[in-house]
Amino acid sequence: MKKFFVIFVVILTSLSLLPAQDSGFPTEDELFGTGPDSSTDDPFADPFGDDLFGSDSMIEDLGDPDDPDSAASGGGTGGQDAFTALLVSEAVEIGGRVSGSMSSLWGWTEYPGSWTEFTEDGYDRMGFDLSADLYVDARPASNFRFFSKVRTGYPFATNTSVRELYSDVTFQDSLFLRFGKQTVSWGVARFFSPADIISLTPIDVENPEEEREGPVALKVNLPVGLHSFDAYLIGDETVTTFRDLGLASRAEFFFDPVEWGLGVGWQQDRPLSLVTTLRMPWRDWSFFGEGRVNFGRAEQKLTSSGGLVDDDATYFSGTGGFFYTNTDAKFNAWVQYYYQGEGYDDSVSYNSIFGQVLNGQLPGSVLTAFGKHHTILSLGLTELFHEDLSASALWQAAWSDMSGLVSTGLSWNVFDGLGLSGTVYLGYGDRDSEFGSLSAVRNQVGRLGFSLTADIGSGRF
Amino acid sequence: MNGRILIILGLIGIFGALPIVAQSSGADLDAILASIDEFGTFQDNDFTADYTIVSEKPGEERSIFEARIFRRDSEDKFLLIIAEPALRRGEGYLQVGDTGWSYDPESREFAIFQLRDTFQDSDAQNSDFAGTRLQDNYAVASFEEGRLGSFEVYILTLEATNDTVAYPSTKIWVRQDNYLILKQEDYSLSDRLMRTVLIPTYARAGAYFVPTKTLIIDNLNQGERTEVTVRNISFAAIPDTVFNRSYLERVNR
Repeated sequence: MKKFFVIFVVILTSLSLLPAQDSGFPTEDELFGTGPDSSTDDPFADPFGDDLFGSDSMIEDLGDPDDPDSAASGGGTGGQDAFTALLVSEAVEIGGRVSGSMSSLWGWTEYPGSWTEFTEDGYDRMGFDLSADLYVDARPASNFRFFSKVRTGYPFATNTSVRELYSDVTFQDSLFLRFGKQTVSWGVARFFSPADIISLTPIDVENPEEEREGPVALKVNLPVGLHSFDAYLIGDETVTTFRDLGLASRAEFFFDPVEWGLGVGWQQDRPLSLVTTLRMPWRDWSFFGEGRVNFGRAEQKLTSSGGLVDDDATYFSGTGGFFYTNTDAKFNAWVQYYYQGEGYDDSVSYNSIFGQVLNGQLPGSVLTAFGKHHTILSLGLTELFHEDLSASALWQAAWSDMSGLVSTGLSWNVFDGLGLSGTVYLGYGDRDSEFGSLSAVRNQVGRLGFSLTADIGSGRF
Repeated sequence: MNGRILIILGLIGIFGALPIVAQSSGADLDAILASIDEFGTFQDNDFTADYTIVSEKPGEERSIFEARIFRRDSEDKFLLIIAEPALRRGEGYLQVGDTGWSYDPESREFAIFQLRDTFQDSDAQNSDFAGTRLQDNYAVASFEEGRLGSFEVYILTLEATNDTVAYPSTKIWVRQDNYLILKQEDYSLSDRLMRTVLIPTYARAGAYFVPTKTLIIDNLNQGERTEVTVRNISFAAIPDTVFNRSYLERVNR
């Protein structure tokens, strides 16, 4: 019995001497051992060694923060120049973004009702997308900056343009001037932004974070605390007199946690616009809204009889929605409703508008939001079973003609530089509707479609 | 009669024991939390420092971020600007009160930003860089004395009093002699240990204390850990113009 007890104690002792399994957490010895192991750079090896805890060497004294001679009052780069140093660069920075992908789409303009229709009536498209941005950023002084960005895409001859080219000048660190071609973002909404009356292109619903082209303008910005006041003089190559300039001004107020904006804009041959924006975060939610009153219409109006007429009526447009994110569940959702006062009801057909755009009588922008009532629901799981797998769903609906498009997709980041994604599209609506028309701008797929895309070598540099 | 007395004595025993627990061994728990908040919240001075955040994940390259942080705790303002890697230089976020904005250099728009999110996929929370607000967000659920290394410590278990914090429950090891936090364990709602935070070194400036090295261990994902190092600490005044969105836009690339 005694022999058995001795063996038992020896076994227990041996077990206790076995190295602890690496759990990612410092072991007791590492935590409370005899001091840092000088043979390793691992900061986790012994953070609480007796060398540290045996004395107050764990506390470095910087002196009194109110003593101008102390280290705490401004020594090192953390001193008075810390904020201006970020605005200056000795070197001119060159950077950009490259995007490359191959995609294949299989689609059906009518729902396939049989296996034969499924196999024989479909179409397929293969596409190569190659584009790049190249920017130059020069900051010789804290009150002067030059920035330019050029975008090119395949085929290069027709897809190369200057996206931004401007200079920033600061007056006494309180008044900020920007002159040149610049991106301007007035709105706070995700997919439709009626308050953004300056941008030259609408939001790409399927890529809402994509930068939009802005005009050549002089922007004057005056921040007052967390409020901000902007004024714009807007021009383009057609401006020959002062009267041709566009004018816009905006005030943004912040009353924690509400952001409230008010703006006005006018340019010859464009309607006078009054806009307002509102945004408020609340816990995991962010609510937003925009309103716009247009006194007249920028383009002519198509009547139900098919004629084009000038229109100086007053129109209200508004949008509202919210963003919800749950970081633990890796889930996010965007919901937005958009009422477009200038939109058409069912007395005017989509195809007749499309015809006027083809003839050059109306701008293409009228096709991106044709009706009066629109909604968009976007759901995303940034991690699905695995951190490299994500899922998304997008439902676009035009309620004036009861048409829409639903797309759901899966994306897999195979490794840095290679991503694969697959998307299923389902379109609905009659043949003369915003999403159901064979010439629908917002539905390039048809009734049913499948796409596979490989993103190769995309990234920033 | 005897029954009533027993009930009264029982109630006195229950409610009387609470302050005894709270004040056991002479520790004033409210004072401890208040001191921690005062150490880490710089009410009378602005604060600037450079942070290096090194994050390790098994099978991945070590990620290194350098960021400059500006704080004005008296107005609840906080600004973080990324300095390295060069690809991300100039990105950052501004927080004022409960509202935070990040600036997207692609869309040129300000997005709403959550302070309780993790910093750049590391084990650090964005809130780890802001002022300490234990009294506002937590209540002491239990208390004991213990030892960590060569230091006598109080071990406090805190329960969140609101849902704005990243973790509903946290346990802190506080030095008995100066109330500095040496160790912290953060727990989920199901009482699962999420991460362990170790703070082996501090810098002192007057009555303020700044953790100069923080080690964060992800207890959910084995092998994931983050080291935060702070240098170039300054309590010099910062211009008002730094704490607005125009500045965030200007420093961006």
